[in-house]
Amino acid sequence: MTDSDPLDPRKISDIDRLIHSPTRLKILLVLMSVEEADFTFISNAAELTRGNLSANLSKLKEAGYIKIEKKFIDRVPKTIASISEKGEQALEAYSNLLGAILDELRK
Amino acid sequence: MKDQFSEETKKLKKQYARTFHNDGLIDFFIGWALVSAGIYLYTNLMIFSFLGWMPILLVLPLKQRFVIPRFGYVKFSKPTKIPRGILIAAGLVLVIGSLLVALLSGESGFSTPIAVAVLGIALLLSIEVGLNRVTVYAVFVPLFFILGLGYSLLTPAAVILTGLVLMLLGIYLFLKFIQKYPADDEEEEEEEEDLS
Repeated sequence: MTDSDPLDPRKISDIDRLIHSPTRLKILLVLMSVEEADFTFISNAAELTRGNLSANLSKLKEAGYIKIEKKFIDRVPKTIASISEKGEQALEAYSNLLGAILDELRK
Repeated sequence: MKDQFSEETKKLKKQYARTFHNDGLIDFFIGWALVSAGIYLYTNLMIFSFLGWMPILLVLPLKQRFVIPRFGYVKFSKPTKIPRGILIAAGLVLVIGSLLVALLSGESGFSTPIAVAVLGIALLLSIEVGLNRVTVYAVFVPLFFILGLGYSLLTPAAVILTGLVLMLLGIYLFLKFIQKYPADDEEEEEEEEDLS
């Protein structure tokens, strides 16, 4: 087992736990697929209850993975979320690491 | 892995875009336009040609009134692109199919089944290949009229029937959409306040 081995326990510990939750992963994937969306859209697309969504959006916002702002859409105030550059990079790194681990396990 | 990841997010985006536009409004108003065009062909009254297209302007306000509050607001970074090959193939199927039927039948009595068959092909393409129905209609409606009138296959009854099928489809999709995405409660909005 080498340092670059994805099955190295230290590497597996590198998995971003914030993204490793199915709920937050779903939210990030939704936001990765669109430019911006409001609370209702994310809740429908990720099939999450509003309470669950709210709690997890806060965590992602605190980590700087998403941006949340208030905007007027057709004169109606809406809470709009979008993925940040840091969030995109974190999601990509997570996907690469998890992919490498799974590839190694399948060998 | 990176490419695969990017492909998957593109697929998701396409899926969201399709659901967002699956409210039946476009289907209903395209059907309305066809019904009006059919009545115009039958009566020659100009008012029906205007009545057909003007309600299309209602699509956006209706979307803002019924769809966005239920399904939510979303901005897709770029419009979903349909591969050029699929569009060309769809167009070719419609053109060649219509030409073949027109050449083989040569009777105006076949116009209604032809109209419905052409609509069927267009709708099947939208469902099976995952094409955006707006694009399908953009190909279908002009071809429907150009070939229909060019080969004298189009009768007012065929146009009205096709329009009615689309209007019914629109109503069905709209009711299904409203049922699937009920309106938000005001209490739930409060949770959003904590985030911003």
